[in-house]
Order: sequence, then C-alpha cells, then structure tokens
Amino acid sequence: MQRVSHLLVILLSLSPFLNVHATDDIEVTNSWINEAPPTVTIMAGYATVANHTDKDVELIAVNSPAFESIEMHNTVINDGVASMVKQETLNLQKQSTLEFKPGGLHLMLFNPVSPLKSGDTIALTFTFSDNTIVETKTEIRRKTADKHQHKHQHKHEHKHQHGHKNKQHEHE
Amino acid sequence: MIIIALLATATGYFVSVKQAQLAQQQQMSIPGLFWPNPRQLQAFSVVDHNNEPFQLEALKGKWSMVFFGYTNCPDICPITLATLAETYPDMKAETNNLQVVFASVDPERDNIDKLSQYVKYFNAEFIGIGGNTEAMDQFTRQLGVPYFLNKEEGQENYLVDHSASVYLLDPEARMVGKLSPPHTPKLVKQQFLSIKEFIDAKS
Repeated sequence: MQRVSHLLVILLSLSPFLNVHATDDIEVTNSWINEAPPTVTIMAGYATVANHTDKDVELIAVNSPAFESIEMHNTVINDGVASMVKQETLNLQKQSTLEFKPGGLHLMLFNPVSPLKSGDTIALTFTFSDNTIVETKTEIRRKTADKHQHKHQHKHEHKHQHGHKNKQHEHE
Repeated sequence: MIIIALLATATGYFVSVKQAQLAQQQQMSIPGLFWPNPRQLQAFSVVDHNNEPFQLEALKGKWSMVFFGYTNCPDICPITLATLAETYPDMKAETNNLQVVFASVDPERDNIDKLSQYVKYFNAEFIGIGGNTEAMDQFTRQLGVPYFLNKEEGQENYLVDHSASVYLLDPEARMVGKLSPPHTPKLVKQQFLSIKEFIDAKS
C-alpha cells in the first residue's frame, strides 16, 4: 500500500511533464520551430492546436519572450506562386483541429532575442478568445524532409484557412 | 504478292502510328516535362555566392535544378531547399553532372555574404545566385518566373511572393521541366530522373 501511494505521488508530481491533457480543453501539441540558416532572422513555427470543447474559439495571439514578435501566416500557392497571408486571428470550431505545418499555416517568429540552435527550447504562449492560455515548451529543430512527409496523411481538419490572393500569374 | 506488299505497308504504317502514340503517352505521363520546343536560354550575367560571374556557360554540360526565393523566407524556401538537400546525394549518385541553384528574387537584400552562408547551410555544393535586380531579371524572365515584392516605404521585413516550383534545365541550357509543389525527396528524384531519361533518349 505504501508503495502504491509512493508511486501515485511520483506519477502526480510528474504529470505536468508528461504532456497529458484532459480531453475537454484546448491543447497545443507537436510544436516545433524550424532552425534558421545563418543570417536569417525570421523563423517558422508549427504546431497542432485542438479545440476539444463544445464552443468555437479564436486563436488571437501567440507570444514568446524569445522573439521580438510573432505573427500567424498561411502559405497559399496560387498558379504555382507562393504568397504568405497574415492571419489576424484563426477560427477554431468546436471539436476541431488546426494544424500549423510546413507549406501551410505557420507561425512567423521575428528576430530571436538570442540566437537559437537545433535542440534549444523556448516558451510559446497561445492565447484564445475565451481567455484560455496554453503554454508550450517548443523545441528548435533542424528540418529534414523525412520528418514531415508522413504527417500530411493525418486526417486533421483544416478550418478557416482563408485569405487567398493572387498577384501575378505564372507565364508559360 | 500485291496483297502481301499492301499488308506489309499497312503493318508498317500501323506500327509507326502505334510508336508515335506510345511516345506521346510516355511524354504525357511525365509530370512537369516541357516538350516539344523547350525554351532555350539566352545569355545572362549574374554573380554566384562566391562573387564569381555566373553566366549561360555555367549551365552548359550540367543538369540544373533552380529554385527561386529569398533568404528571409521562413516557410516555403527552407522547406524546399531541405527537400532538395535530402535527395541531392541520391540524384548525384545517378547523375554526376547535377547542380542545385538557389536564385534570389530579392538580390538587393540578399547580399553575396548572406547568400553564401544560406546555401551552404543546406549543402556545401549548392550554388546561390544574385547580384542586382536588373541582372537577375535577365535570368528569371527567361524562365517566366513570377515574383512580387510586397514592399512598402521604409519597411524592412517585407515578404516576397514567388514561384514555389523547381525549374529543371538540361545540359544544353534548355528549360525542360518544372517540378510543382508539394515536393518530397522521393518525388523530386523520380520526376527528375524520368524527365532526364526522356531528354537523354531524344538526344
């Protein structure tokens, strides 16, 4: 009995680090930031944001003490031309998931306060319209194409990735 | 006798029609291939990441994969270059005369030093080209590459819209293909090799 309660204490004390969430809240998982090549001061970050609640919410801001500023953008490819469309807020319908991923929705992180290398970890804070605040520890990784090829097959819903524009057409 | 001759002619005709159809089907089944009449590149003069001239001659005798972007591009450029870097050794193993070129569509901001550090980060053999806008436009216009600087007065961190495709030039400096996104290492290699095989068979 003594042993069981010890185990319980250990488990409970570990729980903040286990990344285990109740399924009735808003959660942010798989967050990572692509390491930037030298001289580059704008980085891209990715994550999966899931709304397990029965209410629609909006993701209104992402902040970090490690960057001067952070914006949300969507890479849109029209007629072969890629442009990035700034998203002031992102709608997250009830029981839905928003995926930030390479070549699509991403965080744009401007001017790291100190240089960041693969393996470093920084804090990112996601703020939602219902006052929910989700804090994450986000790792800087060096992207190799392999890591992400398979993620595209996940059946996440992509809601409200709006804002298409098309400035120039490709001439053939 | 006449019948046999007629039959032979008819068979010959049939076979040649069939061959033409097959050739056409083969061509249709190669995604991204520009054929017939691929665009022949004309003289241009830009500089590479070592500040050496990079001209039409640099494309001759080599297969070139060219991607257009800018160093401060956070999402699509590093992803595409990482993808190319990943499949580059595999492609090189099959085709030794291959070069990957990152062409800046924002050469005024991407100075040579930036360009050099940038391309080397992905692969020490990658080539960066830039210089000035006028010179680079000589090159990008020939390939019909669209780009647009979303630049407002005094803005530093402006974004650039640009082609997300990888352009393929053959050793005669002809634009023989374009690999459209999304790119994966496997797809890039497959597409490149099938276009190369088709072009090699034509020459």
